[in-house]
Amino acid sequence: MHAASVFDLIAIPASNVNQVEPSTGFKPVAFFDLITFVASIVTLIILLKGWKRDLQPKAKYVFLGFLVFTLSYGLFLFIEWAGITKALDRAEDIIGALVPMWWAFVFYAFLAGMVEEELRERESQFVELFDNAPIGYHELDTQGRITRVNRTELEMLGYTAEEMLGRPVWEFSADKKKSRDTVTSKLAGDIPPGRIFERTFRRKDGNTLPVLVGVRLLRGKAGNISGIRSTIQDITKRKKAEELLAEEHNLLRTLIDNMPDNIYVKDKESRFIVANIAVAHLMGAGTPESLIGKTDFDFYPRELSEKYYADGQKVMQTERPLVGQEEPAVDPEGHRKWFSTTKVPLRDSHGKIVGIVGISRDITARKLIETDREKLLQTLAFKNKELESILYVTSHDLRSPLVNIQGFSSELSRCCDLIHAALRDKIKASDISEEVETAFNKDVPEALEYILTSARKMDSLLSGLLRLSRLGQVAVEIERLDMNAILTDVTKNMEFQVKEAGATVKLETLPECLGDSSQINQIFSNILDNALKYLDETRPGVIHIYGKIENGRSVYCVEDNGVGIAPEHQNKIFEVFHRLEPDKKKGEGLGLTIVRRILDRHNGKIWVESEPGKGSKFYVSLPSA
Amino acid sequence: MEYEIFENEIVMLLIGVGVSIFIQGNRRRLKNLPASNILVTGFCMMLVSWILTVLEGFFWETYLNYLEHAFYAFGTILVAVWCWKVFGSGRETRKEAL
Repeated sequence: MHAASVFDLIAIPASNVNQVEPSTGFKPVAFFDLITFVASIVTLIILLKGWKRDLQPKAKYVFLGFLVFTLSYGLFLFIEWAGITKALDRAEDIIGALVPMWWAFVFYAFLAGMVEEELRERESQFVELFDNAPIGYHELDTQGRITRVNRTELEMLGYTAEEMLGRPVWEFSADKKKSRDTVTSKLAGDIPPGRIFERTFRRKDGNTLPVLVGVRLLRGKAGNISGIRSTIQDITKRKKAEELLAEEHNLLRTLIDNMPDNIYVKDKESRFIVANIAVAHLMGAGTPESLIGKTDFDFYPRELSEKYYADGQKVMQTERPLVGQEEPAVDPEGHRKWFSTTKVPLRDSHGKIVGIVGISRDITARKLIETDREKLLQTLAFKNKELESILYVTSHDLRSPLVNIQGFSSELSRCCDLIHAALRDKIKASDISEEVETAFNKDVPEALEYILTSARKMDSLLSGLLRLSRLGQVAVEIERLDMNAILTDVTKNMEFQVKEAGATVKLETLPECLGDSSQINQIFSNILDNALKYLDETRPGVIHIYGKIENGRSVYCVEDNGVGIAPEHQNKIFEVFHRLEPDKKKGEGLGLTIVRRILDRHNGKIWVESEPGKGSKFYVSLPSA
Repeated sequence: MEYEIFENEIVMLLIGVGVSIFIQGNRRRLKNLPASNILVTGFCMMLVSWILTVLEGFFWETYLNYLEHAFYAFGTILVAVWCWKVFGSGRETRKEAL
């Protein structure tokens, strides 16, 4: 360092023989050295003030180092000023070496401080992690005594660290003997380390705590076992969940085992993986467990088994359930049975199909009843047809003798008149004239009138029966019907009767329906005729016809303000020959019977709502168009 | 041309280079120091002055000598500034740094 001094700027003694440079003019070197010295002094002051407060030890070292540097530099300047240039060289050497060393010390001191700080921080983090780990943690010495325990475990068991440290770990176990045996065996190296097992600890408050214990052996430098490090995981929730699951499993098992229906689960190869008692009994397997892993081929005839297998595979392939399929089966005694079976695909947690769940119900009894009913219906249909035939034949054939009776009664009446005319004079002259006259003028005509009236009545009844029986033979041509047109036509045709009865017919817009035009016409003609027939004479008759669509059906109502129908008659009015006032009103009592018969053939329905003295409402329901 | 080499200058320079290597190696950590830029710049200025000290023995003695002292002075000023920023009154980062 060939530095000149600040003192070169001022007067330098003339005796100074070792002067390096003549002291003439401005000396930049001395100027810079002066700045250096001043800056050093300022730095020292700053450090000194800091020291007075609370500087860390390392900062004090920095201060001391810098103090040495500054003093040395001051000394150096003094020596140079004094002109002791030989000594200056030595001082310069010392200072020159001190400066970079001071720098090295400064950086080292700070970095060492930082490393120490980092270590402290890491240790603090480790302690924090250890204490606040989500699992309990303890260490045991070679005697099984607890040497270290974290806060989580203390909180789990409800003890303080002082209460646990130094005590054998098995004192905190619910099964002390088992725990002691395990710990001592581990410390002796009899049990391989690394096992995880369940253990029950006893809390300070006496409650038990199920835990999962993970064990790791601690070894000294010589490889000998120096202790155990264990992790403790609270599995109370898991245990409860397991218990709940077991309960639910038990409940489900009880439920399916006691169901009368057959319940089973099959895997993709149609092997049973779950089956209830009903399935086991049906298949003759004894217990549900004995069915597991087996297939239908092990129990049923090949033909049936292949069908079941195909159904199951189809459900799995199409991923669509098979609902309520009726299928046959054979019980262990060889009896044929029928089952209504539902098979749905079974999916795993990823939604992949892994099998099927099947539920089947024994419908053998129902099937038998259905078969019987089918037979009965067939018999009934045959009998009905036969009855209709008899009715037709009877009503048709009875008319011939009736015509004879009517004809010959008229003939008899005419003959009586002729005989009476021919014998009138002789009768008058005879003794029995009065009796004979009475017979000819009163008894015989009266008897003949009775015969004719009855014959006409019978003729009328037979005509009605014939019409009724013909209904079953007439073909029904179903078409879309404009009910407004049909009812307009009906009311027009009955205009005379309406006027005669002094009634008013109100016709509203009606919905369309499906039916045979002429037969539907007849239905409403009969109902309207009935309404006109039973109007109340004490008030003007009003017949209101309206309709609406209800549940896919067209419902029409013919409402009148007539005499009404007593409740006890309301169910009988549709029966054959039933009449409310046979003496007062004309008719055979077949109108509503025919209406119902026609509606039966149209999948229709008729019912009445009525209140005596107020009127009736006849409802007709037909398939909507 | 006569070259003048001083052993102490070489030693200074070597120690200075060693410190600079040390700084480079611990650059990441040193960044955590408050106002570390000022401190490192101050050091670099002094390092330059040591280099110049050696070089002045070979050529341009006078001018390089000026520069050497100038760098030295600037380096010392920067150290003073750094001390003031770090240890000066009421600096909150002081304790954390040390």
